[in-house]
Amino acid sequence: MPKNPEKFRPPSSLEERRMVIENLKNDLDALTVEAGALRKGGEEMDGLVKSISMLIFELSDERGEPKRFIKDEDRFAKAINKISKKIDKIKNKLQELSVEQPETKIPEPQEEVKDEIKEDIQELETITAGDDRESINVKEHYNHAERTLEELESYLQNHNIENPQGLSIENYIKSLKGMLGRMKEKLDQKLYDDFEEIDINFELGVKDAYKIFPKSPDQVPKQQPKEKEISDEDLKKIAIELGVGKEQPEPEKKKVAKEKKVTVIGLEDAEADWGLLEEIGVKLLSKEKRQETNELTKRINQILRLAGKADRANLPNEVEEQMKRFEHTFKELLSKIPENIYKEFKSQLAGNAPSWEKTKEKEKSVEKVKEPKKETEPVLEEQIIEEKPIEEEKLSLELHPLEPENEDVEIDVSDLQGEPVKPSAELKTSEKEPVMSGEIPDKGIVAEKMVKAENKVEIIPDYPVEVKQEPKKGLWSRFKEAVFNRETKKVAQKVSYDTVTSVLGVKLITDALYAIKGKGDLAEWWKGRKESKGSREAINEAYQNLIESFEKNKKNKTLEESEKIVQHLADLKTKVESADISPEEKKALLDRLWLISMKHEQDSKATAKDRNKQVDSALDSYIQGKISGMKIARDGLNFALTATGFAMLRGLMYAGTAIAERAGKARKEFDKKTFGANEKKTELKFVAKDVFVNSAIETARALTGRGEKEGVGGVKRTVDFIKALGTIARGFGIYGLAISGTTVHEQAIDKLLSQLKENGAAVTVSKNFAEHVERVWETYSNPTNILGGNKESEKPEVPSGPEQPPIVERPEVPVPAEVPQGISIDQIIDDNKLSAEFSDSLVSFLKEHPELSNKESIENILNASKIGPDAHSHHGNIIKGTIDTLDESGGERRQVIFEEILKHGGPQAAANYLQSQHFSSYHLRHLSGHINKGTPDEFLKFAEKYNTNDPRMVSGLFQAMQGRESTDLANAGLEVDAVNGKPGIDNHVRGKVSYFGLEGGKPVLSGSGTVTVDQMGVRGAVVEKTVAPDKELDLGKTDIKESIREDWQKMGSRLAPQWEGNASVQAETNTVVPQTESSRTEAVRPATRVEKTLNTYKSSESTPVAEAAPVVAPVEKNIPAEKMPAPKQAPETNVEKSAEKSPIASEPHADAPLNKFLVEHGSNQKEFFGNFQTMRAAIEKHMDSSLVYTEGSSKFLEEKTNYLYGLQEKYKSALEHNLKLSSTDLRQIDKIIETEELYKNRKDEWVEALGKSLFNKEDGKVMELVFAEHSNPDLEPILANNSNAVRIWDPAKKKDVIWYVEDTTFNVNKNGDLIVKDSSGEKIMDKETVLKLAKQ
Amino acid sequence: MSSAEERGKRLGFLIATLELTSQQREALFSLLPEMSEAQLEELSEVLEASYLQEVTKNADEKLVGELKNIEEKYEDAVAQVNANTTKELDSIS
Repeated sequence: MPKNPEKFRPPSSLEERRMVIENLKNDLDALTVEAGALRKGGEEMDGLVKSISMLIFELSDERGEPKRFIKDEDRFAKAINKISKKIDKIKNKLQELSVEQPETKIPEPQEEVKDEIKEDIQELETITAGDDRESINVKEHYNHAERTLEELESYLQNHNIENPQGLSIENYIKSLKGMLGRMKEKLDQKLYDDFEEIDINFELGVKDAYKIFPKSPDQVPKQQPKEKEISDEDLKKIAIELGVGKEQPEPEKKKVAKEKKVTVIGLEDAEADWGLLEEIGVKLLSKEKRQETNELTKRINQILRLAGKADRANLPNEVEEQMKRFEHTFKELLSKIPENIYKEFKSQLAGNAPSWEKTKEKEKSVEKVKEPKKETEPVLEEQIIEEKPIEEEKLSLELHPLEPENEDVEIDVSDLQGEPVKPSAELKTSEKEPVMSGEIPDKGIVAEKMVKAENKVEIIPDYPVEVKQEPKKGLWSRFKEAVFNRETKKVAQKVSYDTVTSVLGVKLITDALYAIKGKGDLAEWWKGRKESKGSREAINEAYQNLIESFEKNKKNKTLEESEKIVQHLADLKTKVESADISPEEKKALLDRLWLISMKHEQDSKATAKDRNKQVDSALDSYIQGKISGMKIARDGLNFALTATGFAMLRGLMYAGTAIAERAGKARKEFDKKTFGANEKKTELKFVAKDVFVNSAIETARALTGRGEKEGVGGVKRTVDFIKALGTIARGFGIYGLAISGTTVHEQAIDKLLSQLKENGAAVTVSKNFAEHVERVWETYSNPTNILGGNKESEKPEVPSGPEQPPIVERPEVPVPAEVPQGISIDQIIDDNKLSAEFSDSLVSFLKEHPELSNKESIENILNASKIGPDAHSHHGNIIKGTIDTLDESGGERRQVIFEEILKHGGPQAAANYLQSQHFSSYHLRHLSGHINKGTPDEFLKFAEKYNTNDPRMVSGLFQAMQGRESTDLANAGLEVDAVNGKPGIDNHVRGKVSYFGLEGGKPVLSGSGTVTVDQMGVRGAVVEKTVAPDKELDLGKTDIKESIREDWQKMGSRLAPQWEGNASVQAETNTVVPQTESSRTEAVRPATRVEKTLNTYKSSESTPVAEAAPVVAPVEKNIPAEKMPAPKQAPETNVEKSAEKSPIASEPHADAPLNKFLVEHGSNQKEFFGNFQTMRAAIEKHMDSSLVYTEGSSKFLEEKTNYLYGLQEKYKSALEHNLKLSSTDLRQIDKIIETEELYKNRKDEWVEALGKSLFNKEDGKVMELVFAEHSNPDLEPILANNSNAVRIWDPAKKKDVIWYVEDTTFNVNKNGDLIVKDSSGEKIMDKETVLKLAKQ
Repeated sequence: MSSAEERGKRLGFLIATLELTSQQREALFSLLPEMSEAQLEELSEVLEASYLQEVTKNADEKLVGELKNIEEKYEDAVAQVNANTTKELDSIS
């Protein structure tokens, strides 16, 4: 509901307006409940709610969809304002009532409410004027019904007729009066659909009354026939006029004609036609079919209303929509109508003259119909017999069989949508099978009822027009022709999917392919929707079929139940209306029923609407996904066929016949065939076609491993054409392809293609298509296979001579449609001076991800591959610093690839990429909150939600990707943590390098720099000394110092797990760690250094220089700044080895309270966050490399790492926003600084200190255990420290299983067994038991 | 893809992906020269459509699954509505 109704301005989109109405309905729901709660004093409220609900319902049609007038901004605004005010008023009233005493009497509430409702209706009538044109007709119906009831009442009162069925006349009249009252109510409420339903029931009731209380013709007051009304007699007359009945004897015919005026013959205008046809439908249906009839009536009325508004801009669509619904309803109805009438109906709809007019022109034929069999009296439909007076049964009418000679008498065949009319069996006049009134022949056959003089009725079924062939031009087409303008017709043609076999199949794709021809982008094509309309509608249709079948299969009990409830509600209403209770009670009950009914209807509609929305959404995402998938597959196809590897092309293109040679061959063939004809154009065309064909055959043969057989280049032509065609057709699962020997080849092939289109080749091709395609791809991407072929294949001809140079130039990157054509991978490779191995990896990668085969994506990926002082994250505002390690570069590259796939391939493709990373739980910790278990759904949601402005998402993804790269490097032996005294291995980038991951365990590089794999030694000291700030250092040197210091820290972090074991080693050497200028102390602390270089990788054609001798002397790190090597020796030595880059705050926040605090405590923002981040990384890395988690421990440690991350972000935010920190925070920060000092100084206690400063006592102990080194796991398999966790060595995994159980403490006894202590006491367990338990 | 050579490769690839017997495949090869360029193009399109249909079949299966899921939820919701209405009716009867 608009917040301020006075100023409410309608939103511009229809969807938003729909939402406004939806909200209003929700408000109303709430009010209904409240009003119900106040029922005792709230009758007035009921009235008000009712009044509003009516107003709201006036905004929607019977499906709950907004009515058309809401497109008019002013009218919509007016209506909403009105309703909003009313809702406000109700709310106020409710408030009043809720505070009033229950006894409070509201003076004459009912009258007030009635007046209010009337006012509302009047007002809304003004608003919706033009939309309710039927109101006049409805009023006329009502007046007629009123008069009819008066007449009936008068008749029954004046003729004291004995009640043959024991029914009370009084009650009967009462019931009819009740219906009349309800009609009035519905009329007042403008609920015309409901009105119509009651009206029909009422009419049937009146008829029943005359049947129950029979009358003689002179006693019965003549009913005033409604306009266009048709009586039973009229129907008989129509039957005669249609040529399907026999004229009754003249005197009796006159007698009937006197009684009722036939008003239906000679349909002069469209509306009259509709009326007539509707009446035919209504009259011919039994009572059981009333529901469909009502539905049909509604549909017709809606179409007529629309037809009266030809000036509406959206008319074609609206009419189309209504017609569809009408057609659906009517199809159901028609199946129950005698076929003759059905045909007449269709004929007239198609704009043909009524058959009786034709009949007049064909008198001779009519005569033939009238002559025979006067002794029988056919009746059109048993209901007529049932309802007609006894006298009428003496009428001699006869339905004449549709004999062949009478074919022209019947409805024109051309009017019957091409249905051929089969000659019927001769009319039988058997008297052996009497059929009682009420029995209806099956199958919609034309039943002939013979009414004998002695009132015996007999049905002789006949099947004169048992024709079910597909019409040439259907009802729907004719309808469209009659109503649609030219433009709409175009759309309609697209809708007619005569070749669709399955919408969820070939057609959509075929359409898409046609649509994108020369247009580029499938996604754009879809967005445009104009051309997709056909597919969409067809999909919806398919959906309906699916649902129908689904519902049928399930024998949907719920929906049946729903129908029963609706019926039950209707029955209850009728019962209440005719119940012998006081008017007050009756009204109260009816009101209550009305509310329940309304609520039920509203909820049901809302539920259905919700379902429809979900379906829409599912269809949309299906279409998007499908098209996206198609796009990728298609681009992949293009890519592979044009570019892939050119290795492929080399194999294919040059292993076989070269183009020039083919052209030469083709030309010779052509010359032979054309006996020297030399028209150049024709020749060229032929040559082109032959190249096309030969290339196809060659490729197919090569890919299927069959090599080149005879006929290539001039394809063997001795194969019997028809036989070949038949073989292929069978191959595609096409049967009954009618090709004769005389059929021209071209036509025969057209037929085959047409069948293929309809059947869809894929449907009949392969059950193992995916595997098969995979095999083909595999073959395709491996030229050796092609060249070698298999045993069956012939070795392809190896080209020779200057015409077939083994071209090794790189093919063009086959770019997807949205990428400008002409982008060449060659150009990109040249521009970036990529090495051969880098280029190969890139091309190979693009083959896997064709959606990235565009210049922008490729360049972004190349940028992300760079390492060096100029390389930064593309999210520089979030991820600070330079990219100077392989794992950082890997993180950056993978992140960019993810983002590019997301951009060009959509969320699903991006999610697939994430999934292909095979993240470990450690990696996924960085994405916690988004991805926990690494399920496809989680990845998809993450991709869908991914926002480059969300720092946590961006940095989390980067860290996860970086972790993945780091793990790959470790698996390839490029970085190994030092364990048990064994030296660690690390890699270092020197110079400018581009890195494209690993290939065969070796880095794929480009650029002039190198990557060394070094064996690292560690020497440490614990000596600190205070030194004066180094003022002599210039900026450059400071940077170097800083860099080396960070290197040290980060390298140290990698070695973190070994601190205990290497303590003695660390003590051996003391080196000075350079400090920042802000430091007041210069620590002399342990150092790591490159002991020797194991491998050097260099990017060049001759790389890698594996197993080479060290090319750079071991770099002594952590030496005093002033002793640092000159930049020449080490400026490019970027050995920063942080496990992660982090969002680090930068200098601009110098005035922030946090920064001041840090400075006052001997730190600064960069150092503080840098160290914090590094410690975090050390913790996580250690955990990942040395522990196996159980469910409890995983959760516990995840909480802790998340807490650390949150803390880091919290303080970062405080810094950036100049926030004042609480004393608790400041105390914590102080402790963190202390911990950082320990960490910087390689003090083992830093873990304990961190635990104490950040976690409570128990958690701190667990963290301590987590960080403990398991120096001798074979002898001491269990580590415990009286905390809630225990570590048990798992020899199979070579890691400790960490088991965490809250409220339980673990210790180890002298025997090395575990003491488990919880509330139930103590238990002793051996290692195997513990390990087993922990793993459970 | 514009040259005859390239179009031929595409068609060849598509034919190769078909699970035809060698006899059927040879028959198809024998028919290709009989086809006009337009027919060859048409054949390529049909096969491409089939190819794309096959490689995107997962989306179809997913859709059917989703629709069934929606229907089941819908039924649950209808059942709830029915239950509420029945409860209401019980309260007055």
